[in-house]
Amino acid sequence: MQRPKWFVIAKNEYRIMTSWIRRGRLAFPFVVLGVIITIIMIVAPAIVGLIEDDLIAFMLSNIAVAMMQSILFMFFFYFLMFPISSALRDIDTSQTELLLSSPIKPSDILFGKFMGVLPFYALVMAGIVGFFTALLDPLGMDLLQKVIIISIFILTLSSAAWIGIVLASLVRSRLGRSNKGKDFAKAFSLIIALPFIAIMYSIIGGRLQAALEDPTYGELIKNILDILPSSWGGKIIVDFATHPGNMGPVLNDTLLRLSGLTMFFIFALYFGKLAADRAYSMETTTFTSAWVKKDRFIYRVVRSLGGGGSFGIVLASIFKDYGRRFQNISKIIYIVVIIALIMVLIMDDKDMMGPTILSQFIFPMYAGFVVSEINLRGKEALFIFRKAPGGVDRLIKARLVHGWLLVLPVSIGIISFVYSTVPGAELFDILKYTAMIATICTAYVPFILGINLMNPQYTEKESMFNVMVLPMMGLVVVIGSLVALGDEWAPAGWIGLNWGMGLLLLYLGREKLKRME
Amino acid sequence: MEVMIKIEKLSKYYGKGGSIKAVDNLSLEVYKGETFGFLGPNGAGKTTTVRMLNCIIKSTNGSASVYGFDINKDSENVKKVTGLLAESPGLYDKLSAYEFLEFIGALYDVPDDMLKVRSENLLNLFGLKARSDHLLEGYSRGMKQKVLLAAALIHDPPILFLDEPTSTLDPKASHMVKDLVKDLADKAEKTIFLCSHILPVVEELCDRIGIISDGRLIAVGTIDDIIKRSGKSTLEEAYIALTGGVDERELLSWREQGDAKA
Repeated sequence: MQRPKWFVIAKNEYRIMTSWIRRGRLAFPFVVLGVIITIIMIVAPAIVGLIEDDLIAFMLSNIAVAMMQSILFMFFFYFLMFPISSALRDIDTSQTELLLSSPIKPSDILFGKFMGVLPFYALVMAGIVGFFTALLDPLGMDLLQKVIIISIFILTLSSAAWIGIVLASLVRSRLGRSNKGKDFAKAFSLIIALPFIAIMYSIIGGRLQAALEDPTYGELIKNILDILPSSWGGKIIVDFATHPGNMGPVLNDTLLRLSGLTMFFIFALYFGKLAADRAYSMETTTFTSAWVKKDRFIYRVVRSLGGGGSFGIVLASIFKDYGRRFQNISKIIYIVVIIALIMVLIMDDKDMMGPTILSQFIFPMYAGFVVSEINLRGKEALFIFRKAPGGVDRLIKARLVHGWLLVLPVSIGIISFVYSTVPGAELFDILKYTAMIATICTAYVPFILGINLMNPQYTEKESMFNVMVLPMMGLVVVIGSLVALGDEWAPAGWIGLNWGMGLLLLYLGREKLKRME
Repeated sequence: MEVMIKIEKLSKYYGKGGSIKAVDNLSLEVYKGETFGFLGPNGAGKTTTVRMLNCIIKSTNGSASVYGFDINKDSENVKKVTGLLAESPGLYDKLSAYEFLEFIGALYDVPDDMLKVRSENLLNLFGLKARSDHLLEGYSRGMKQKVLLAAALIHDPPILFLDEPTSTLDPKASHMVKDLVKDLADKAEKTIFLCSHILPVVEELCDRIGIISDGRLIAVGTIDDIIKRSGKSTLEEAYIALTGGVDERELLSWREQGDAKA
């Protein structure tokens, strides 16, 4: 008997996802089931038990519906965004030819991919559902109400995952056929996460709660949330919380909203299948290749900064290769927006110390994004420098200058602005603290360059480890200096440790690059 | 002779108003049991032709039938009767060679019991049996090429499209693939549409060849015919003459310094 084609694709997708545990593939579903049961039966009730009273009070408050809708929207957005962001980050259409030359319909490919990854989404869904049922259990809900709540989560999150997979395939197909498109996709993969982060920060910082309680903005936000399909279930959950074990008063409203959610899922499936033909195509979108004009002002300046000779050309070439990629520009935008969101939505500092400490977690990440780019062109690109006379030192010198020129203006600009918003800040203090952060940020560049040379990673995904090392180290440096030296002398520790470790790592990285095979 | 691939005025245009003619008015017939070589410079339209014949992209004008099935109307059946080794196909790096063949076989509805035996036989034939359980991400380019060739054969199609089948293989594997292609054509009566830049391979394997340049078929016939018609003595000379000749620039002119001082 022939297997349905979507099943073949789903099985393949599952195999790809579980390739890291090939020997334990058979046991994997049982392990997952065990994890889900443990979460629902033990972990979730234990955690919820710690904050039960506050949670019940919240569920009965007048902002509960809007808050629940916001949380559901956040999960919905996350499930929608995750496949898109993954597809954009690692855009690859090379398998499309293989699939299109086989006798299989594009809709079967799409549905198979969805079914293949659904078990992994189910794991996350189970965790979310587990916490919510544990949270609502003490209110005395009956079995039917619990089943409906579970169905709400499954319908809402499955719709989001399906829409995300369809959009990811469409975007991949559209952008993956040109180099410019691939570059744009990588750039967009970061930016797309920003709305999710904004909602998360506003919940963490209590701004969303404050906005909902505000008589002017609260109603507006609630009206907007009411329109979104992700919100339809939120109202039902809060209705059940206020009428536990008693469906009667909320039956009609529940049926209406649940039917709406089910219809939304069915429509999403139907239109997604219709869109499948567009999601898998190898028709060329463009025959025009990107071209460049003669060096403009900025590259001429960079070249002059490098002394104008052959080093100037090396430096300008590195800048050109960096600046002509949208993804690099998007990283700068991403980090600037993240900092702005933290400042606006989370931080509420009254002195200079708060931004000073926070900046030592954020700017290292920015420096990491900029400098880790060194390995992303592959080992062969590093060997170009190894082959050239004195090439290793020229590469390091050029990368240091490149890093400083990109890291310092952004970090100095942001931090001086943040300091200037601190109530009562004086000009001398602003300058003093800005100079200190600039000195620390200058050390980040050799620091992160050394890490990347010592541990070269040639793909975007793998290089994230190198990007995250410095913020982790920053945590140790900041806390260690505060504990060992006290508030007054901690800045000296931050500067000394960052520069000391930076120069040491750079030296070790240089030696590693010289010996690399 | 039974016609297996019949192409009539097939065209593929891109750009505004079809200004870029990737394939232009191509007409051609390929017969049963024949190994047909399709030659042309880079960007001449070979891959576009192969993709249209495999229903991966749609033609702008013209028609073609593969094994009697119309590429514009009966793509499902066309795909069932063809095997394709593409120029730069994507592998599933996180699958083993055996799993990959199993996956492709399932896409082509090869029955389970036959799929198992055939996958093992093909892996054996290509010398991959010992590493059939290893993930493809650890394979060399040549080994990946062998897996892809095995995948193109897994459903034992009557027509095979092979785009540069030996380009990444070592001499031993290349020899084996050439023998395989010969056997597939001579003993199993498969029709093989072979794209290659390696002229000795084409000379050794192909009964007839077609040369495409700038999207247009500029010569078709046996190798001897084409050499004779071009007035040259080898296929290489004939190919270069037909596709535009050699740039006659002074080969060492790049060393001149002009007004610059060393």
